[in-house]
Amino acid sequence: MITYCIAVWGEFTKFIGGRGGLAHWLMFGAALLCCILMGKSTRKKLFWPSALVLVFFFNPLFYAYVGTRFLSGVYWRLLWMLPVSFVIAFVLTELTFKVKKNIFRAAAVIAACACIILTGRREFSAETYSEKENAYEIPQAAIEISDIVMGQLWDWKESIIVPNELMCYIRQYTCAVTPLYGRNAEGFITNIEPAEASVFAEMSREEPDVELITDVAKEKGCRFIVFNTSFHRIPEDLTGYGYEQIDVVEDVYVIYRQIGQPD
Amino acid sequence: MNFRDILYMSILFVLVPMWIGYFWVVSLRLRGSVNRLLHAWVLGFVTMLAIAQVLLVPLVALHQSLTTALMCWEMALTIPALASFLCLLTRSAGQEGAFRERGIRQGNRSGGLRGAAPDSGGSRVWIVIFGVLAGILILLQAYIPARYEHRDDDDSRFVSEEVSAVVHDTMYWDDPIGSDQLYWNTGEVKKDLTSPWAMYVAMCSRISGIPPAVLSHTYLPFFLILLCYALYLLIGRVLCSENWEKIFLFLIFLSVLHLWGYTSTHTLASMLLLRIWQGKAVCASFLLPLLFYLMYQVMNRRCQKGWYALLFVAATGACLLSGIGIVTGPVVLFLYGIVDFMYHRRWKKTLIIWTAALPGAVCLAYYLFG
Repeated sequence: MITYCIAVWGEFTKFIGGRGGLAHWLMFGAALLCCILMGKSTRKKLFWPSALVLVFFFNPLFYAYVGTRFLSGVYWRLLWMLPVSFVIAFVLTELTFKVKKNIFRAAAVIAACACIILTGRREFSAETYSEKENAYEIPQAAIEISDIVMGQLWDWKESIIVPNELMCYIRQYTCAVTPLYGRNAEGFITNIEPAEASVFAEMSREEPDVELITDVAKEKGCRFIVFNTSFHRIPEDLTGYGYEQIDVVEDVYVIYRQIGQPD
Repeated sequence: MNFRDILYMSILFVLVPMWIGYFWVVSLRLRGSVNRLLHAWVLGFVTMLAIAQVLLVPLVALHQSLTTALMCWEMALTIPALASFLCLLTRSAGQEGAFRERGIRQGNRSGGLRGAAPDSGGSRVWIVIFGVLAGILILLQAYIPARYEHRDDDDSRFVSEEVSAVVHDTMYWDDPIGSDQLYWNTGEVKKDLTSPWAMYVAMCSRISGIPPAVLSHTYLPFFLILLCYALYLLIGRVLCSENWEKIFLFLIFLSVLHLWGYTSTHTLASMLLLRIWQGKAVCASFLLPLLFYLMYQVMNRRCQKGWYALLFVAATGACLLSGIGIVTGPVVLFLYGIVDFMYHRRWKKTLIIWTAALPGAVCLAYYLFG
């Protein structure tokens, strides 16, 4: 039982983001307590539902029988049922309205906002948002590589090996160019075959085993391989491995195509 | 962003929902222009989601094409749209006058700013100041995700599925990585069948001609964040007793909490402002708050029957969005049902609330045992 309690607590801290999120949750706790004193309607709409959700979430029995079986890894999502920001915003609104004089009320609003800002973390920052490279909001290299490959389609689709930083994006642009492996290389939803896993491991290295990559590529029908020369240290000429350079994108992504296949 | 795309998106995500939602506005006898407009938008959108869910699940299971699904959805949408049109036609000036008179007599001024401002506790200047501030903060939250770029690895599944659907005219047939055909009819994972949000986005992409990645990353954030705040305003109205100064202040605090709520990538703020185009984020930011709002209405001692119907509609819409919607929708209804029973001791009402969880329960049963 203690193990389950610790696991539930772990889910909770994962959700709030550890100590960083503690201040807003303390604010929520305090606001929830204030709701008890704010009349029947507030208790009915905000306090009791929140209290029940908390009881529901922190119930180790529920976690043991439902959480571990059906919500494994996403148990924290149940906390979306808590109206956290609504409760805090409502209580702050009510408290600032206790201040009668308008100018002091405005000062109280500023102080409350400052409190939230100082204890929180900015949602919009260089860490979360960056300048758009294109309307698709995926790396421009993924688009340019896809366009080059699409111009040389042999079948209705072409399989391709790309550097790891591009593997999640090619398919968001087109379904005619398909990476040999995608996010599943990192164990997401499905597992990849051992041969593909070995290619992924090599592509993650600075000095990949080009022979292994090209051998697997040929075996899997991958006519195109892309290396990031700012990371990968590979021989310039891959003709000995059966691949020739056809293009370079953004000065670093070198595209190789299998020799001897029709354009 | 270009004018054509904005026009299409405004029609798909604002005008059509409002048109469909007008039926609910009339059924619930809501008053006040702002109130009616916001309700029409929010309730119309959730009705569109629910209709899509009812159609998409069997069509995906039957391996039908996206075009077939789109045609069925458009035909189905004409029914509530026609109902709204009939409501509009039959609304005579006399009836409207009678409603307004009755509304004023009952002290019900749930409508526009003009009616509520002078006698609702706030001075007009402060209402304007707080209103403008709230408006700026909300627009900022809608603009930045549309203007700048945030990359999320989950898109490698959802957006890929949408691309496959639009290009190959299929629904969950292709593997989201290799594009190879899947030999089962539930998508890559079973929950794709019960929560086909990606196909909803694919239908919108097909209608508008906007590529799925552009639609998801540029246009959906703008329109969905505004839609969420329309709902939050309605929640504010209920909580703050229709005092507009308080409502705008509530929205300011809410905005600040969201803007500085990046304590983890899992919080509601992160779902709303970082990846609102994904079904689970729409569930967390829109559908669950909508269920809260509907329950606030249902928990009133005297509540219109239309609100009960909307509980069913919202619960069905929650299933479309995400597997977590299938779980949390029924749980929210169950817990709020208990709260309502604690206060009113009416078994029949509680049972109706719990019955609204049926769409979620059916999807959950399929997911677990199907």
